[in-house]
Amino acid sequence: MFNRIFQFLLKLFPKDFQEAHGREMQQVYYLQARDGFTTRLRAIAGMIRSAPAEHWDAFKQDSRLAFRSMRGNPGFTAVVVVTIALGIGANAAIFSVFDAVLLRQLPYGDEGRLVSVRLVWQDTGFGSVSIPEYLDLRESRAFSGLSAYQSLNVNFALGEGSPERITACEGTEGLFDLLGVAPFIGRTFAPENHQAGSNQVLVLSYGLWQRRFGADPGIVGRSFRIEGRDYTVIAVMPRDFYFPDKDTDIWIPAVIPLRERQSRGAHTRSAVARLAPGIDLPRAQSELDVLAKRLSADYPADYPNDGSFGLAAASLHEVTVGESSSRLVLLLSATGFLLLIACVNVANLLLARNSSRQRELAVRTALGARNSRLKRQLVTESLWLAIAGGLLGLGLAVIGVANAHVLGAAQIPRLEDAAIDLRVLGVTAMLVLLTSVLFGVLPASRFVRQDVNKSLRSGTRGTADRVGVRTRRLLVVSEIALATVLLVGSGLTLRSLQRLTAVDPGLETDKVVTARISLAARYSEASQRVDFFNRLVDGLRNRPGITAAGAISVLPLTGDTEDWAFSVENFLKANGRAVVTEQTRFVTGEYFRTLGIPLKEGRGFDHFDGRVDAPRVAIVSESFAKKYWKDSDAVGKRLRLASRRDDSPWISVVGVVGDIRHLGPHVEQQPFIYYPAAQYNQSRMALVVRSDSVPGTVVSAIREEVGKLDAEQAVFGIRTMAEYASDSIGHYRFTSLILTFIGTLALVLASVGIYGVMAHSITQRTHEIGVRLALGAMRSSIFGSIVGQGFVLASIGIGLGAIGGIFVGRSMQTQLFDVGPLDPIALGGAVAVLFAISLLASYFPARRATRIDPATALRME
Amino acid sequence: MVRTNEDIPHITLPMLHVLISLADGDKHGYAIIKEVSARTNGKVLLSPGTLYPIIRRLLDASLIEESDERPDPYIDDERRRYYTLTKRGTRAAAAEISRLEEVVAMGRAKKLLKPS
Repeated sequence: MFNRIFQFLLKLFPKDFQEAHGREMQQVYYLQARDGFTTRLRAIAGMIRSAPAEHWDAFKQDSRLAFRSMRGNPGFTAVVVVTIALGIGANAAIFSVFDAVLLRQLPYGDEGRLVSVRLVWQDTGFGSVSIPEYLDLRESRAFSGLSAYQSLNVNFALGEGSPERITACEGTEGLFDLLGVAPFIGRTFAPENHQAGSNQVLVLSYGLWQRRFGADPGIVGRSFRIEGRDYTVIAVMPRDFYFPDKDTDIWIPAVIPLRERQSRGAHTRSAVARLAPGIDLPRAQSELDVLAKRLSADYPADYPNDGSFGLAAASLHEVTVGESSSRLVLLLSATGFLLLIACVNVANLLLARNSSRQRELAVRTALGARNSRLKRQLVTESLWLAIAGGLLGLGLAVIGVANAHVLGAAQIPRLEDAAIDLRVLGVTAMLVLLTSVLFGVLPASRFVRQDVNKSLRSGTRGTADRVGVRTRRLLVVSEIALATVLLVGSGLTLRSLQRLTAVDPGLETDKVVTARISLAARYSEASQRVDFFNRLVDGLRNRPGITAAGAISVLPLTGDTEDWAFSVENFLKANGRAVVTEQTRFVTGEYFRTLGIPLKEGRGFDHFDGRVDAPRVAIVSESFAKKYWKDSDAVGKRLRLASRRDDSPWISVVGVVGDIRHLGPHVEQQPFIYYPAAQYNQSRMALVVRSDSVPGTVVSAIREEVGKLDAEQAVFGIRTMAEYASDSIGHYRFTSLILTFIGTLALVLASVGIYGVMAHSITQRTHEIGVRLALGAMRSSIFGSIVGQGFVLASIGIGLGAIGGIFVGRSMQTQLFDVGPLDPIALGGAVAVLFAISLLASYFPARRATRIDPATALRME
Repeated sequence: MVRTNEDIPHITLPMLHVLISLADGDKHGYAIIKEVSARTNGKVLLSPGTLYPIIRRLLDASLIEESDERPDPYIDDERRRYYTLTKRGTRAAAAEISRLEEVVAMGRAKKLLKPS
C-alpha cells in the first residue's frame, strides 16, 4: 500500500525531477522502508511536503530565465505583449458589456418568473394596456400578481428652491410585492395608498436619496411637493434596484380615476406580472389567448374580432435586453476571432524566434538540461508574456468601457452597468491561460521534437526547420483567412450604415432644436393649456432668426409612439371590423413646415383649427390616405374616434402630408394621422424650432419665451433633432464602429504575420539566395519568386476567408439593413484590401532579398 | 558558464548536513541518510522526499556533482548514483560553518550558553 502511495506521489513532482531522481528515490525508499512503519510514514509526509515546493522552485527559476530573455529582446517582447493586449483587451471590454447587458440578472426576486404583458395589434405591433384591460388581466389565473405602471416626468420641489425635473414611475397595487424586492428603509405601498383621497406617498430611489438628501436616515416621513401636491416619503429602495429603468427617481402609487376605469381605448400603461406557481410561459400565453378572444367578443367596439388582436407574455429579461443580444453575440464572436488571430500571430513570432534560438537551446540541452525542462521554460515564458499582455489588455479594456457611452451606444439597455469587475477579471484570467496555451505550447512542442544534434551541426539554417516553415505558413494562411472574415463582417456593417444614411426619412432634421414642456397642474383648464402653447409658438415664430416653430405630442425618431383607435366613415375591413388603430399625433403651429414634411394635398392646420371650439379636422399621411381611401381623394373624408357612444363628432380630413419614418430610417413608414392639439387637451408637448442660429441661441430664445408666459414653468429634454436622428441608428453605428475597429486590428496583425514569415524565410535562405545569385540568377526572378510565395499564401487565406465571410454575413442578416451576405462591395473590398496588404508585406522582404551580396552571404557560414 | 556568489542558494541546516556527510568521501543517497541520522543521533531524519530536492538544489548550484568513480564493482549496485563534494561545495560548507561558529561565539559572549 505504502509503495503504491509513494509511486503516486512521485508522479506529482516536476517531470524533469522525476527523470533525474525518480529511480533513486524509489530505491532509497525500499531500503529505508525496512526500518518500519514510522519511517515509511515519514517518507510519505516528506514527499507530500516537497512536491509543491519543487514545482514552485522550478517555476521561479523558469520565470527568472523568462524575464531575462524578455528583457534581452525588448522589441520582440513589446510586439508580443501588445498583440496579446489587443486581443485580450477587446475581449474583456466586449465581455463586460455582454455580461452587464445579457448575463446579469435584473434586480428582482426570482426574476426568471417575471413577464411583461403587452397587447398585440396586427397593424401596429406591441401596444400598452388600458386600465380596464389591466383589471381584466389581474383576474387571470396565469399570474400570481400583475401591476400596470407608467413613467412620468414631474416637477419635484425641495423646500423653496426651484423645482427639479425628475422621472417618476406610477405603479398600480402590488408592484413592489410582485417584483419581490423589499425596501432599504421603510415600507412600500399599502393597498390603501391606491384609494382616492388617501394621503399622497412616495418611495425614493437610492440614487436620489444619496444625491439630493445626503443619505439622510431620517428621510422617511418628510414631505415634498410634486406637481403642486404634497407627498410623504415612506421608503427608500436598495442601491441595486431599478424599475422600469435606471432613470426612475421615485415611485408613486397609482390612484385610478373613475374616468379611466371606463376608457378601454386609452392604452397608456405597461404591465408586468409574476407567473403563478406551476404555470410556465407557454401556459400563461394560452391563458392570455383565451382572454383576448373573450375581450374581442365582449367589446366589439374596442377590439377587432378577426384574430388580429391578441395579448402576449414575454420574459421581462428578454424584453429589457431587447434585440441587443444578437448584436452583442456578434461583437463577442468578432473579438474572439481577433484573439485567435493574435494567438496565431504570437505563435508564429515564437516559432520564428525559437528557430533562431535553436543553438542556444541546443547548447543547454548538451549541457544537461532535460527536454522536459526546456519545454517547461518555454511554456513559462509564454505564460508571462500572456500575463503581461493580459494586464495591458485590461488597461485598454477599462479605457474602452469607460468610453463606450461616447460611441453612440445609447440604444443598448443596461450598458451603463458595464464595468471591469471581478467576473470580467475572472474571464480575462481564463483567457490569459487559454492564450498562453494556444500560442505557447505549439512552438514549445515543435522545438522539443527537433533533433538537437542536427540543430547543433547545421547552425541556424537547419533542415529540421523546414517543418517549422511549413507550420508557420499554415498559421499565416489561417490568420489571413480569419482577418478576411472579420473584414467582410465589418464591411457589411459599413455598407448597411451607408444604406441607412441614404434613406429619406421624410423629414429634415438639420437646424431644428427641440424641447419638452409639461404644463404644471395649475393649468387645469383646457383653454389655459391651448392658450399657453399657441402663444409660445407664436412668440417664438416672431423672433428674428427663427424661421419656423411648432409643437407635437410625440417627437419622431425618439422611439416613442402613440396610437389611438378610430373608425373611418364607410370603411369596414373585409371582416366587418370598423375600429382601427394608427399612429396618432397632436400638433400646434407650423409643425410640418418646421420639420420639412411636405403638404401633398389640401391645406395645413390654421389658426382657426387652433381654437377649442373649431370644427374637428385632421391631416393624414400619404400611406394613411392610400390605406383607407385607395386612389380616391382623401381630403373631405370623415372619421371619428372610437368610443362606446355613437355621438362622438365626425372629423374631416383637410390635408395630406408626406410619410415619415418616425422610428428611424431602418423602420418602414407607418400611416399617420395628425389632429390639432388645441382640440384634444394636451398638457405635454415637444417644441420644434427651426433656425439658422446656433442651437445655444435658440435654446435661450425658448427659455425666454417660456419665461415671458410663466416664469415658473420648467423646460427640459433640450436636444437637436439631428441628435435624435443620429441616436435612432445608434446601434447600427455602434456595431459598425466596433467591428471596423476590430477588423482594422485584425488587418494590422495579419500583415505583421505575413511580414514576419516572409522576412524570416529570407533570413533563413540568405545563403541559398547568395548561391543562386552567384550562379547567375536574375535578381528580378528572385524578387518575383518571393512575392509570388506571399501571393500564394494570401490567395489561399483570402479564398478560405471569403467563403467564411459569406457564412458569417448570412448569420449577420438581422444586424444589417438592406445588405445581403454576397454584397459585392463588402466582399470585394475585403479581398482587395487583404491582397494589397499581403503583397505589401512581402514586398519589403523581397526587396531585401534582391540586395543580398552573394560574397557576404557565402562567407556567412 | 561562470557562476557568481549570487547563484549559491541559501544553505539550510539539512543541506549543510548533506554537505558534511560527503566531506569524507562520495556516497549514494541511502548512505547519506544513514550517515546524517547516525551522526546526529537520529535528530535529523531525511527521507527520499526531503533528500532529493536538497540534492537537486546542490547539483544546480554545483556544490556537489555526480561522481565518475564507482566503488569496486563487487559491492556496487549500478542503479546507485554517487555524489561527491565539489571545491565550490567545500568552500560553501566551510563558509556556512564559520558563519555558524561566529553566531555561536556571539551567543557565548552574551552568556546565552555556558562555555563547554
